[in-house]
Amino acid sequence: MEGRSDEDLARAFASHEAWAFDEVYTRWSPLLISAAYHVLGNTDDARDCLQDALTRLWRTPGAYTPARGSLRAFLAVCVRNAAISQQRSIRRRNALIDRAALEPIVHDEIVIPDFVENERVRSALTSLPEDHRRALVLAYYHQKTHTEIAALLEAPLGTIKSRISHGLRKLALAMNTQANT
Amino acid sequence: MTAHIDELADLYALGALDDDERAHLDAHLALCDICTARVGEAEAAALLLIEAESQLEANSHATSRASNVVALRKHQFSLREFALAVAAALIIGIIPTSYFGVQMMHMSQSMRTQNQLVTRLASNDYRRVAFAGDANAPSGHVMYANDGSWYYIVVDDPSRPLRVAWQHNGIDHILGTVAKNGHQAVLYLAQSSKMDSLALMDGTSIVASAKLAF
Repeated sequence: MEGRSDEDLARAFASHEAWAFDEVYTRWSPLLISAAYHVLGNTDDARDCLQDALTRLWRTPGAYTPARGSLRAFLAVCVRNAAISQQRSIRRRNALIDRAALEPIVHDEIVIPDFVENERVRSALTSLPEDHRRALVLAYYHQKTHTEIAALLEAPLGTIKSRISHGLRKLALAMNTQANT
Repeated sequence: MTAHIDELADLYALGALDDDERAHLDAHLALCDICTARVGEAEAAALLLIEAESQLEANSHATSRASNVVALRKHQFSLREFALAVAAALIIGIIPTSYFGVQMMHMSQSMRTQNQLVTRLASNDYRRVAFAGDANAPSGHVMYANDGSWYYIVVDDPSRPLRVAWQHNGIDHILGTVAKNGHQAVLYLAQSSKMDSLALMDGTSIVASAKLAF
């Protein structure tokens, strides 16, 4: 199915045309496996996660519609969210971590981690207000829920939601600005 | 859920909602075009982060191996094509993939360690003791759980690959080597023993030690 655009693929995926399922694998599996790998830390688990997530999406009528926008972004987020769910299930089996996740932490510990090696991301993160950056780092890189983040940062839930939301939007703006300069 | 989701769209795209919240939001999206478009925007923003991570290991062993497996499932290669593909993969892959594979393992380990540390420090039931030594001894400290279940060794000089040893019954048991982490070098240990004496070693020489109380 070479020569078909991403928009063609998105429409075909939404209308369950059989070729679209295979084409998603062919076109985007490295990205999607990577999205799961960065959560699970294991290639085999990441591949299994991708298979499960895509199969589940395919069997769910209306899971994706072109009105949502990019199919690639939709799938990357879905696969990553599936990996996060799997990882949280594992964590729940560790009572210590589960208990600790609800306790406050020292604010100085929440810095941009060294594993954020991509300079474009690091630069964009640095440009964010500190409160936004902390919330965003905990949400994305530590896969904390907003409830956990509110407890960790000792801030109201609504405030944390706003910080994460504004943080993501500002980050995207900064990264897109970098890309256009 | 009847109101528009607004900020929850960004939390959804970042993975900051729990399973139940995400299921509620999915149910709402099936009925609301406005929120569907809003989530789509948030997913496009989150994709920037996901792509950035993916680009780091574009040539890594892990991803190429995994994608090759997927590709092999979908095509019946002839023996000749397969042999050529293997040869090409070996030529193209060995040098960069070994390097990026190691880098990726380190990054992944660092991520897991950081996450464990953040959550465990959060419990507050830990102690802290500084390493002591002569005037040239590196400065550093140990944070450890009251029950001895974990230890976090921090050395303020990241350039020195010091080893950490447990001094027990007159024997130095090597536990690991501190690894550079920003302006420090660190080692995280999950243990089942209450270790009352830790030492930093430069080669075979002890350069600092710390007495731990439980």
